[in-house]
Amino acid sequence: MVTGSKLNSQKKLFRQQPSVGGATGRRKLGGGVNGATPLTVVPDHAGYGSVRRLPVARQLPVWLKLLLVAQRGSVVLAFVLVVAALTVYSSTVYMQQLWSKNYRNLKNYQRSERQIIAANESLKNQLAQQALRPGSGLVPQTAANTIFLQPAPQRPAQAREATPPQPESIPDAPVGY
Amino acid sequence: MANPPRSLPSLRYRRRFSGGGDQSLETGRRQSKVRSSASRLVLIWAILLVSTSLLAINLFRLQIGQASALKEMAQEQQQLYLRPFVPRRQIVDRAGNVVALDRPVFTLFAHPRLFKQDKSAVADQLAPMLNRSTADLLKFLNAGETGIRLEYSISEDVADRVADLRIDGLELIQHQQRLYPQQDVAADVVGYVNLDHEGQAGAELSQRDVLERTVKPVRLKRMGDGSLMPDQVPNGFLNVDDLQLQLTIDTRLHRVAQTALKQQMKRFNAKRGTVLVMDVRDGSLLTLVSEPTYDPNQFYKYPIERFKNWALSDLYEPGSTFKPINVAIALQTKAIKPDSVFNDEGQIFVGGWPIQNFDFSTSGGRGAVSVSDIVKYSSNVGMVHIVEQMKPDVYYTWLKKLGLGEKTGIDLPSEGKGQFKDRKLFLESPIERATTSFGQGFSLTPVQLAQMHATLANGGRLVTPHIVQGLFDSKGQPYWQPNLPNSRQIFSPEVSQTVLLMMEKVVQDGTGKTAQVEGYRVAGKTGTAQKANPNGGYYDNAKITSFVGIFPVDAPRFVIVAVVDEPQGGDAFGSTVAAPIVKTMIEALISTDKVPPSNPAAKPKVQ
Repeated sequence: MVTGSKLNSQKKLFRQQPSVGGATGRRKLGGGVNGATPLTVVPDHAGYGSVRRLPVARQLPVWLKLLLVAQRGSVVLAFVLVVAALTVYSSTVYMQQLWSKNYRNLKNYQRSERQIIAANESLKNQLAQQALRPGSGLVPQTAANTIFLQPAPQRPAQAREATPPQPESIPDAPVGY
Repeated sequence: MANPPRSLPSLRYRRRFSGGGDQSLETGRRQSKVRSSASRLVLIWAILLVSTSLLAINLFRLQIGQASALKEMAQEQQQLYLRPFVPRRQIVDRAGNVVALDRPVFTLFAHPRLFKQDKSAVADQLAPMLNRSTADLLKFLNAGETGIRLEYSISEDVADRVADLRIDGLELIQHQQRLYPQQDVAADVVGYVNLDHEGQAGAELSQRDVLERTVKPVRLKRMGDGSLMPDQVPNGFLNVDDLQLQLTIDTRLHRVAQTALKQQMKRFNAKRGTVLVMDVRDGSLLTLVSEPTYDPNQFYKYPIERFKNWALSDLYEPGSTFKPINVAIALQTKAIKPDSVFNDEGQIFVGGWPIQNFDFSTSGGRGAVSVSDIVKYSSNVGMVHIVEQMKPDVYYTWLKKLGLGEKTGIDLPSEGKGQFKDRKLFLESPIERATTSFGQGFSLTPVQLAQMHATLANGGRLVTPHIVQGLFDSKGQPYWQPNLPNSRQIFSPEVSQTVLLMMEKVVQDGTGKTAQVEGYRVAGKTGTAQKANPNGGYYDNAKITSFVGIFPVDAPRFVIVAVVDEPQGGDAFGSTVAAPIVKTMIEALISTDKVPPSNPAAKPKVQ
């Protein structure tokens, strides 16, 4: 019972505060209404003297705790997933653009390649035709204007002389004073 | 929406408790304010309601009413049938010079009915790009209302500029065009493609399975800015191989051959000519030039008979150039020995027909001559005597073994099949055998003559002439190479070497002196044959001159055949018309194939 009366007193204590808030609230609503008496909190257990116990946080049941943890976890997970989804989505869009851009580049390179090959070969043909014209200053290469080099006869493999052992290299640092 | 009306009673309640006159005025004002705010709320509510329902109606209209039409429109805008430009494979020569390549070109169509501007304005803008006069274009544009072809093949760059004009009613359609940058240099080997891009001659026709690549059009989606969406790109869309068809021919040698041939043809006013260079080791042709030829870029401007390569489609009687082959057969069958001696009467009668040497009227009979001298002086009578030493059926079998009357199997289209008498006639008639001994009375193609002479140069093997080296990628790695039949051993290496040395004498101090090249050992044989009349017999004046050269004798690598048809003039012989061409070719081969001098001591004279 004692605990019951204590609980009651706690309830009252809690109830008072809204009433204070309510008063101030009304006062504000009333605008310029005069004669508002200042409110004072009257302790309803006068002479009760003893120390009031602070509210003890109730132990939450395990399932509720688990649910809370699950909720927090799922919030984080949801956030991560949303970020990931956005990243993936934007990257697909970006990749498509990138692909498309690179495909265009490839097309251009292929085109340049074709044009360069065609131009190069046409130029060769043109040069060859010009060379045939008299007065071009070019003569066909014949045996008479070619230098043939006789391959040198293969030298007999020289037996390697046994080289004397290399003197031990002297380190840079002075060895002694 | 539901809260404001519910709050109204509380306001009304408060109003009842407030008293005072001046307050009633305020209350009235407040009342009207409350009323107006209430009606405003209703108004907003109504607007929202109406607009929502309008949106719903529009949604219904778009999603259900016009859905199919809109879907079609979207597909038309977004979907794109892309036919990627996959060119017909390039053809390159043995040095990697491109002789045929593909490029995209555009046909420009005009549909004046769709023009949003004046025809003359359109013509004005197009004229400088197409290099045509405005008046000319305008004439075209006035010709019809739609589907006017303004230009058949405009390049990619010009097409881009035309597209950038953004003129309604112009249409560019892409197709492929084959470009032959070396023009007529290798036309006889490479061939050409027609307007439908189909090979019509040469390697373009015979190798079409290797050259052609078909691609299915790909259905892709397109974004608003026209760029492609890659999500529907099929596998391997970008992986187009870079294989190219490599030929064994050399365009540099082709140029030399063409120039030399043209020069001689002009000098002797000849009808046509051909030059062949064959690598005796494997039968690959380095040169296969025919004159007159054509420019495959503009094939439609030339008469149709130029498109066949007459060096392999037309037959001719080889004449004296065939004598070394007969000598080799006689040696191989052991009917004669290299040191045998025959009596050259200068003129004999076989079966009532006179057979005489070309120089009988001036030199008469030569008397006792060796086999080598018979070849050197190109004695017809001597050859008849050599062939007489063989049994007719053995001789016939050997000629058939060499492939006379058959195709060589070259990898080019329209090869002609040589003509040779049937066995019965050949065995019964001595005159047939006699004329065959000096290369008349049967016919073959210049390619086949080169193939037979290659047997003398490569130690007796009959190789298959060919022009295709295979498919190679851009790094030079082979991907595919044709399967050539194995070479057949016909003559023994000793026999072929003996005949080769006899042929060397022809060039050293016989009829082939004009083919001598300082510092090099060259073997050869001239030929001046009467031309057979298709109606029987021979033409009186028409002759066909030829020369076969083998080079270098110390390590034979090349057979060079030059044939000039119907040269005019009294001094037109194989030695004067064809041999100088072979000499030019040998000089070119020395530099292209880096052939060292046969005799290092005899240094070539510096000009």
